[in-house]
Amino acid sequence: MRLVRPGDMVVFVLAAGLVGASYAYFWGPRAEGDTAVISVGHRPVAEISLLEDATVPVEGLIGDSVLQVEGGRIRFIDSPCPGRYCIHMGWIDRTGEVAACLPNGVVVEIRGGHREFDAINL
Amino acid sequence: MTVSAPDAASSPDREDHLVAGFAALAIAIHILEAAFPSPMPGVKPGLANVVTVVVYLRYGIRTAAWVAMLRVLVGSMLIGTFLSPTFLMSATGACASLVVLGIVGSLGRYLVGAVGLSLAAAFAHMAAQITVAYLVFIPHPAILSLTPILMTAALIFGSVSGLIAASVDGLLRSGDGRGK
Amino acid sequence: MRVGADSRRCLALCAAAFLFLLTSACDRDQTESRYRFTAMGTLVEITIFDFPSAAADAAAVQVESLFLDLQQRWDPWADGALGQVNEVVSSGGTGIPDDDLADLLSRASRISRDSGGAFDPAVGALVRLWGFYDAEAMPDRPPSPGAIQETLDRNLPLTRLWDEDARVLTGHEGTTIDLGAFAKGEAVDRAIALLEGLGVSDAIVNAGGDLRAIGRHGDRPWRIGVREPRDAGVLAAIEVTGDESVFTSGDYERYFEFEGRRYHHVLDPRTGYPTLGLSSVTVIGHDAASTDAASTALMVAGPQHWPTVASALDLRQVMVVENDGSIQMSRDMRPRVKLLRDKPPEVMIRDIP
Repeated sequence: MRLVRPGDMVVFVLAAGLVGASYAYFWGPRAEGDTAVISVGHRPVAEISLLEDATVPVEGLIGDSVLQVEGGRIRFIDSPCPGRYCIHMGWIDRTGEVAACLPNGVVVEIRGGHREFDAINL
Repeated sequence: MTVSAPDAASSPDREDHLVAGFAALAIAIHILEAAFPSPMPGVKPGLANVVTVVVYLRYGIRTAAWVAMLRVLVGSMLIGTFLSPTFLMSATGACASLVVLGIVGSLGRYLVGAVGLSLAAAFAHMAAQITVAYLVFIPHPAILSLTPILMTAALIFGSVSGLIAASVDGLLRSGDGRGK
Repeated sequence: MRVGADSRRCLALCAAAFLFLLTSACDRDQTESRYRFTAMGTLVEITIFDFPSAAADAAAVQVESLFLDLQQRWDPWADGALGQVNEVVSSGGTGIPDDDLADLLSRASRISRDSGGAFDPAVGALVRLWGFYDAEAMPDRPPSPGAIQETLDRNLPLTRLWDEDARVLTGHEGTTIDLGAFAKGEAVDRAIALLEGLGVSDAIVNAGGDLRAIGRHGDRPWRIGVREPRDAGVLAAIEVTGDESVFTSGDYERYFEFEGRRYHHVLDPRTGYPTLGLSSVTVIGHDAASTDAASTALMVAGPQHWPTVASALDLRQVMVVENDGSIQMSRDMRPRVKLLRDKPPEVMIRDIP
């Protein structure tokens, strides 16, 4: 009696293909990142998941900036800067996209996905 | 195989003994596995499936279904997870793998052996569990992103328990031969 | 069991091959280094491809000090080269800039002339009046129409103040030269020159919306995303190889709202008010400084007249987004741009005369 039969090999190959496909499908290149790296100046201070909705305060150079995570995206909702450019920037969710509050030194970058663009023209 | 003892309704027959014996074995393995810490939730070797596959190969789908269902039911009662989320996942997993076992098994015994059956069952089991976990318990994309890891586990453990099942089946067969 | 040996080996081989494929798929790391810093009121990002990472980092740090130095020299209000000239000129004296600044003023003056005054760096007083002079100042209301008119009346365009032969700026009460984005573009150009001098051949210097790329990203072109002016997200993708600048000027980042109206920072030197009609202008050109000045001029020119100004400035590749989101492009721009909106928008093709 053979331990492994021809059909077994077929099933194994199909199963392995399925596993491979699941990696490609669930972990494959996607433009939306799943993490945001927050830095103050040149120093990374936090890495937060975009998979859980949250409101995150970040202590910057002149005060607290507040970031909101919702539905895989992130944006500034408050910051102690006069210009409010960071809030005007709106939601970001693509890998490599950056939002920043320059006076407060807070920079948020999307990571974890496949980088679609080498640079983004603001 | 058919069971048609005259007093089948009242006293346990040969098949009942078989079911009980194999189920006891499966439950023992099930509990032993539950006692070992798992590297991540949902990943278990699933060696109890060896019993299901062997029983299926020797006695058919009805008996295998009995053994599997008994294992899930009694096993969960003994561990204390009866009617808990774990129980629901384990029950749907068992149902799905039995259905797939029946379908793949009908392709022809000499074509697909224990390894193929075990792999197919492991994948069905895993797929059902992920679906239940996602739909019923944690409808969050993070669960789905675990899929590749869980599928890899199913591939490895399915193959291993398939090889074990094939050896056990072979041993039992040669035992049968000698018994004649 | 020995009979199954072949099959088992086969099985093991398959598993090994599978695992190998899995690990090799993850191992696609490319030698790309990225460095970010803040200068000239914007976030500057240096991307260097295929260069030893320590050397790339060192090069990026040099670019950072270059930017900080130029920021100081060309700030209209600080105590640098331009600040000092401004101080003399605005109090009526004759400004004598150093050679470097004089070259810059000559170029700015020529672009200002070619654009028919749509780009004019002599609007420093106007920019200050509106409160957009500091990268992070936020005015809460527009100045009074009287104050705007008064500033306009007093102002002379750069083309009349700058004597290209004598290389002197005529003094004029209250006049301030603000090179604005032109200076940022020039800094990007010098950063690229610096990187090339260090042996870097594939890089992007991106100062906010002001970008110049050289070389390529390994076996593919550089991919640039252009931001959607109103909603979050990316409007279009542009691929760039060789040496090109892509500049987007828009009304969407630096603005304030007053009584339901939006006032943004691109001012029309002729009316004294923020430009109307266009939400963003994207220009592909050669060097960053003139591409930069050109896109400002096109914002001023507006949805009807931009092709004329583009022609005068010798631009061939332009895309503009109107306030209602509709898109116009020059004929040469169309094949460069891949629009990424879910519903592909209609594009009006305009000929640049």
